[in-house]
Amino acid sequence: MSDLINAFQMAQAQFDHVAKQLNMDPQVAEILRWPSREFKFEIPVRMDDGSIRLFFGYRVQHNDVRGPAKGGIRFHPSETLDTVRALAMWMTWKCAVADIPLGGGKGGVPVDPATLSVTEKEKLCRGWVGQMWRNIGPRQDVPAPDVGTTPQMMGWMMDEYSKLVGQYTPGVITGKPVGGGGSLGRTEATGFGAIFAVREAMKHLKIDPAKSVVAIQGFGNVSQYAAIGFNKLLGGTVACVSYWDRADRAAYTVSHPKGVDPKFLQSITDQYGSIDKEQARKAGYIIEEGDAWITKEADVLLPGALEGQINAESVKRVSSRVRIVAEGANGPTTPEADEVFKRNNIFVVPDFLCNAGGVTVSYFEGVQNDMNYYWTREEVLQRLDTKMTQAFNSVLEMSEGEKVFMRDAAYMVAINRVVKAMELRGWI
Amino acid sequence: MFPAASSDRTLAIYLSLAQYPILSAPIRKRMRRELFERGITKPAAFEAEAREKAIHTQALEGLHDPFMEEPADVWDLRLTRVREHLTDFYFGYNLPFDLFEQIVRQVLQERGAESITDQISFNPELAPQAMLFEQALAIDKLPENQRRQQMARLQEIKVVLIRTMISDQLAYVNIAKQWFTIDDLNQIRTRKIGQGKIGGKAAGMLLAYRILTEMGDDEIRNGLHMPESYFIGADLTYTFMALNGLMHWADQKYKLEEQIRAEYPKLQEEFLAGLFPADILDKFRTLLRSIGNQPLIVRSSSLLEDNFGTSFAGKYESHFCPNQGSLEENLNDFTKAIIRIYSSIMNPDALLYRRAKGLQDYDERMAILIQIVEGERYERYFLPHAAGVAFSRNMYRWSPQIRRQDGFMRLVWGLGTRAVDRVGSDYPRLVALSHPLLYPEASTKAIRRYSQQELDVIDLHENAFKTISASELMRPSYPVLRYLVEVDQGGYLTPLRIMLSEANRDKLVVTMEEMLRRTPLARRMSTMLQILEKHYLSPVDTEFTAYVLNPDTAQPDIQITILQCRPQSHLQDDDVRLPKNLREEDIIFSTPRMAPEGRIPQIRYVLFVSPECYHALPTQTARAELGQTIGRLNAALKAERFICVGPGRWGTTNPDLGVKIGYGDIYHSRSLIELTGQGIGLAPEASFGTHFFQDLVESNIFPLAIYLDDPGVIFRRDFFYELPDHLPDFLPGETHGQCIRLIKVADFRASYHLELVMDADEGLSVAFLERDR
Repeated sequence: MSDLINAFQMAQAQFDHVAKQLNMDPQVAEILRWPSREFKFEIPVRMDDGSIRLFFGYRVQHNDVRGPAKGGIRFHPSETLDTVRALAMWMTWKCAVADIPLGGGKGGVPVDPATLSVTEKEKLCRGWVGQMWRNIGPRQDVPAPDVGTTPQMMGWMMDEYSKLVGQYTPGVITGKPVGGGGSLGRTEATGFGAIFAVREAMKHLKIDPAKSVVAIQGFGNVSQYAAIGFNKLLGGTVACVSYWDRADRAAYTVSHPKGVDPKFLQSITDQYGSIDKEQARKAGYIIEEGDAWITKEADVLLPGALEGQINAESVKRVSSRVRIVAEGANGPTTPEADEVFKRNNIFVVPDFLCNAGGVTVSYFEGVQNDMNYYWTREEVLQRLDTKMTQAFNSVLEMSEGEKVFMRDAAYMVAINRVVKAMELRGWI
Repeated sequence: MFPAASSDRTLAIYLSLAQYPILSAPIRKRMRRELFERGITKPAAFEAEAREKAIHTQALEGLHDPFMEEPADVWDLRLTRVREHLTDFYFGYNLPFDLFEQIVRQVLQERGAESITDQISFNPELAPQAMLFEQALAIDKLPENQRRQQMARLQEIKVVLIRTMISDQLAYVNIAKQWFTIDDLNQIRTRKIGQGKIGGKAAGMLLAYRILTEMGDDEIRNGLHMPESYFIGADLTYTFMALNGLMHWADQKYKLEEQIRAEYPKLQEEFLAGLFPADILDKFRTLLRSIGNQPLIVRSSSLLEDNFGTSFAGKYESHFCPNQGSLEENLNDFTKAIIRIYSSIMNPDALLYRRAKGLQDYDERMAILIQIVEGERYERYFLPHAAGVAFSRNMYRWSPQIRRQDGFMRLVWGLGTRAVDRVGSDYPRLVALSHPLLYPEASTKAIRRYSQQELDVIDLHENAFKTISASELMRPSYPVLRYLVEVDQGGYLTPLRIMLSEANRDKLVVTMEEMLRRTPLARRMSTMLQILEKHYLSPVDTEFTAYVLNPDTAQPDIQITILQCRPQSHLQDDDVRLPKNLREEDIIFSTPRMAPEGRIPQIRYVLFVSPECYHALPTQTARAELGQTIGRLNAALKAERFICVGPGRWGTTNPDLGVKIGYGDIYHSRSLIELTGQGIGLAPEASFGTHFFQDLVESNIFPLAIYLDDPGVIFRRDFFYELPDHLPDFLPGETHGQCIRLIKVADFRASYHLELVMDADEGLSVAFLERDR
């Protein structure tokens, strides 16, 4: 999304569209079209060579009516205020649709972290907190890792914050490493969350998961656990996954006539996500071109990595068997492809519902930090299941009640909740 | 020497002038001037010859006594025609035809403008309307300096036109002449069918519009809309009656009441069987064709109606014509509506009202005001966003901070009929324009109870006026729903922030709240009313519709259409003013608290609940029983005129604060008076009837309060405590140990009754004794 110049205008347009469907009060809509608060500040960092380099930091708190703002911090060279605003707004809807008591925020620094040494990165992270600490906190705004930031950086940031406020405050940041205040189940959260949503969709469509087949795009964190979840939790067959081969600088689809074993593939995947082709072939896997995944005979398509994978062209190649599209990635379906799905009555689990598992477990992390008591992995996943199921069903109910598509319904559920909270608090 | 072929020329002149039915008069005038200037004849000689010839023509037409046998206006007509003929004759014989053509060209070019000074000779009171307009428009076109010299003349013409076309009520003319332009009057002329005046209602609407356009600021001007209107002159009533043999009903007003009532159905029947003359029908047809399928309202606009001095509210009829059928069907509905209004001149209510007000002998005629209904189509229905009646003086104050002079409004969703008529079971939103968001009711439950449940609309499919349940239009797609309803969240109301499916319809309450909160309706209406009051030299009331502009924006605007405006004449009545020189011994009680405006005459009984006794009652049950007795007494006193006086808040649910009764227990009472102050139980704030305020308003029951500790308060304890109790006369066998006392005024002073005058100007309500007449 960071390369979209008018990301914020697009987010506003998307919001306007939903506001119209909701017959929303124009006075209220105007409030929600803009962020509640925006911060822009400078972060001077003494570099390893002794020079001082000036960075700029952003934090946007779009809306915190339902609870403290929540959202990642991005270190990316093309970060702008508008991308941060758009993503902050998006977080408001995402937390609301998952019905977790958090608002929407996002932050960032326009920088390529690959150009920084570890100490420089640490200074930048601590510098960011040094400027923002008065306006973040477990009851105000809780950042998390995002593009270009890592659990390690979150640790530094949490530490800096704790020093400044004078007390250990792990709940100020989520996405911390396990043992450093992180939550178990965080790694699986997004992929499993997507699978819980898929399971509910199948229940609704009366599809037997054990007899169903999924074609997955990508094999990063989301896709790996979506594949494992589909296989182990639902008992279904994973027709294929795809991945980016670092060495070949090309994408491949990996399939197996009897269905892939995601755990096996995980075991032959390197730290950059590339699958060892030789070992795969030896185990009877078929390696095809990158976009072959979309053509597989499957009941479910689960794009789990990149934006815009299902577009006007590629949608033509989708098998007629497909009945569900579960958007594990952000924005994998272009509006043109969306129209085709609507026409063909294909059930879409929209991205910010489908991948809300991540933010849900982030929320659990904060909850555990607050009570200073940590759940087992099973407890976390059980609670995640409950949350995802509730979220899915409230969106489904909206979709059926208002006769709108799932994507619109998800926004409608989310925005409705935010407005309701504003009303109850007397903001409007 | 007479030129040859001169008789041909006379004929040519005659035929040529026949082409200019209006301008022929000034042309002939110019021709005569030529004749006089060239010495062909002299004015006196010419006039003498014309008279002589005119008398001759009388003889030819069989009249032998020229001065007695012919009415003056016919004689004038005769003389004019002879004069014209004589002019053509002399000109044709004596002067060249190209001179004639030159005169015609000149007059046509000037369209009479130059000849104003020549025309001063005619009397505007008698002149044809066309000539008046011609001259007035000509004066209007003159350069400023010449125009100024003609202003008196213009004013005279204007007055004559107002008097002959609109209304001859002097109070009206006096104000109207300052405002109307000749152009306004000309507009009326072009939108009028038939002879005669356009009547009171039309007059009021036009005047209000003109005043607001002149005196309003840009905001008012831009937000004001004039309803598209047409008029049917009042004289058509008689034409219609004469043509259909209905003149025998004309003396109806002098008959006995029973006869008037008994004959009315027959009268209506005969009227409805009547027909309009073919030329009028043709005009109606043309009008309907140009209006198309827009719904119409055909309204009475009688000469007496809505004018200065009399209100006639609701005495005559108005009819909606949905106008959705074929031209002939629509025409049929339209004429039937007009005829119904004609017959309503003779309806018993109207005739008896006139009798009571001393207006019986007036030659009442019925003009008709036709307005295109303001509103918009929503699915099969047609209705305005909001409508209502607004008063420049607020007579209903339910809280001390409400300012009387800021005005008052009864506001509804849909057609205004629901606000104009008091429909009993349904309620408009009452708006104190000084505090538009202040409800009379305190609780959400009460707000809901007193909210509008039904809408008046035009059903375009059924081609009919209809009342439908408000919930039928509570749909997300109704464009201004959020301005009209609020959501009952169980104990509190919120605006409609988001409107999803129709599932929550039962939680929606019509409050009009957001229209009042978000649009400038209340503020602007208040300003408009003040302007009208100032220039009408009287408080006014108006009917209006309101249209929300740009409802999808954060700052919507409002467009107001004034449908009618009339003086709140009863406020100038002596009725509601305290008599001078009231003697202290005649006063039974007097209170300065929040005096409304009104008078309750002829009070024979006072239902008094003794505060001491009430608060000494041992149990809540005993207090509840007392409430029930009041209910029974109310029913038994149906035929009597009485008021209720009691401790604390009438209608409270907490018996410690006052008498716990419902509206159903006191609705025959004319006033509820609350006693408070030291010694009265908990001495609560008076409620001023807010427990059922809307019911009180709809049935004209006045709430009052007496704070016994207020300086200047009069409260005659001997009246309330020492007279015999008449409760057993009405409820035999019942007694409440002096807790409820039914006091007969005549017991206090024989042959006297009470008058309760609430004089808002004085800020005082006084009940005083008056001798029976």
